[in-house]
Formats: sequence, C-alpha cells, structure tokens
Amino acid sequence: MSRSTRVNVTGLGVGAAFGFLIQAAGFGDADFIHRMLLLQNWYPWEVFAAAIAVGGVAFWLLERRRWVTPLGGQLKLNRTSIKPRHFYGGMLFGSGWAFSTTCPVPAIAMVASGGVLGLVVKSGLFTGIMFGDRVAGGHHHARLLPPAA
Amino acid sequence: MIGAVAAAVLKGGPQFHLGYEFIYGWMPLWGAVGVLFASGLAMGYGARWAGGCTSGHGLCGMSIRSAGSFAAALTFFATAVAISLALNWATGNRT
Repeated sequence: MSRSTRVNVTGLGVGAAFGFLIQAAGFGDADFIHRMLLLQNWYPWEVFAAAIAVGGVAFWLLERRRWVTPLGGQLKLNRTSIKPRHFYGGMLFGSGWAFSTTCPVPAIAMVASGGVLGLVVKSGLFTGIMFGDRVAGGHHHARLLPPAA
Repeated sequence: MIGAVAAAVLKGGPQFHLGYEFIYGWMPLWGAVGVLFASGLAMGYGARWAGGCTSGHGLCGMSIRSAGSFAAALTFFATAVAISLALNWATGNRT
C-alpha cells in the first residue's frame, strides 16, 4: 500500500471516529447546540473542555518526546500569532453559528441523523468557503508570496 | 459522514425530519431556509477568514496552545453566546 493510500485510509478512519463521537455526544441536534449557546445546557461545554484537555495533554507529551509520526514524519505543531483576521473572521463565524445553531461538523451529523435543513446550512457553508477562498484566502496567500523580482 | 450515520443508526435513526423545530413558532419555513443559508454562508466565509472553525481553532488550535486559535475561538464563542442571548430576549424567549 502506498504512503498516500495509507494517509487516506487513516484519514477516513479518524474522520469516521470523529463523526461517530460528535453524533453520539448529541451535537447532531440543533436544539442541543441552541441551548448550549443560551447557557441553558452546560454538557456541550464540558465535552469541549474535555476534548481540549485530552488533546492538550497528548500534544504536549508528543511534542516533548519529539514524536515522529508513522506517516507524516516529525510532529510539527503549527501555532499562529494573534492577527486581526482571527477577530473579524471569528465574529462573522460566531454570528452564523448563533443563527444556525450548528457548526461545520455538527451540520454533517445533523444531515446524517435525517435533519433535512442541515443540507441548507451545508450549502451555505460550502458557498461561503468558496467565496472566502476567492477573497480572504486569496488575500492571505498573496501576502505570503515573495515580492516580485 | 460514515461515523455520524453509524452513530445515528445505533441511536435508532436516521429519522427524516426538518430539524430546527424551535424556529417554526415565529418564522415560516421559507424564512428559516433563507436564514439558515445566510448563516451557513457567514460561517463558511468567517471560518476561511479566521483560518479555522470550532474544530480547527476550538479543539485542535486550543489543544496545541496556539495564540491565534485562542483569539479566534474566544471571539466566536463570545459572539455566538451574545447573539443567541440577545435573540432570545428580543423574541420573548421563543428562540
């Protein structure tokens, strides 16, 4: 099996596990996230906190031990400094999240559980990402390019 | 999608329904479709602009202690909670 096939198979497995856990935790229900954002249900916040804590300890240990991943070589964590786009993009994303009461991965879980209107949210998401690629992404990449000789 | 369907099957589904039952009390279906598409659009563009979403910045970015991810995640958490509470207040607890 080639390396790229192994990467794809691993990605499929990890993605399936992630989708399973998101659905099992209840994130496929818009009302579940709605009550989370109204601070009426603290369970989703606890799931978030637990996931970050587990991931944080695991990444800290793996980075400290200079772990070499089986398929990607030396583990290199891509940290970013704070930039204005984090605030502007974050506010826009948060606005959409409040009105749709779902976010990109739970929207897939919603569709998978039979929630038809989740498809509408996914359509908007893909359109927004494509539009963002042309505008925000284009500008971002342009800044990374070396100056013309 | 595969994992989410598997979990839905284990929970006795999938069962086809529109979802968003809490919206119908104060908004017609065509209005909900417009709002949901527009909010998806905002999320997609916002995620591209910020460089990540709840999973990318919220879970992965905060796990690796990335300052940019903390800024983005705290911003969208605060914005979403503030707008949700404001909408709930403005609609008389109907949303």
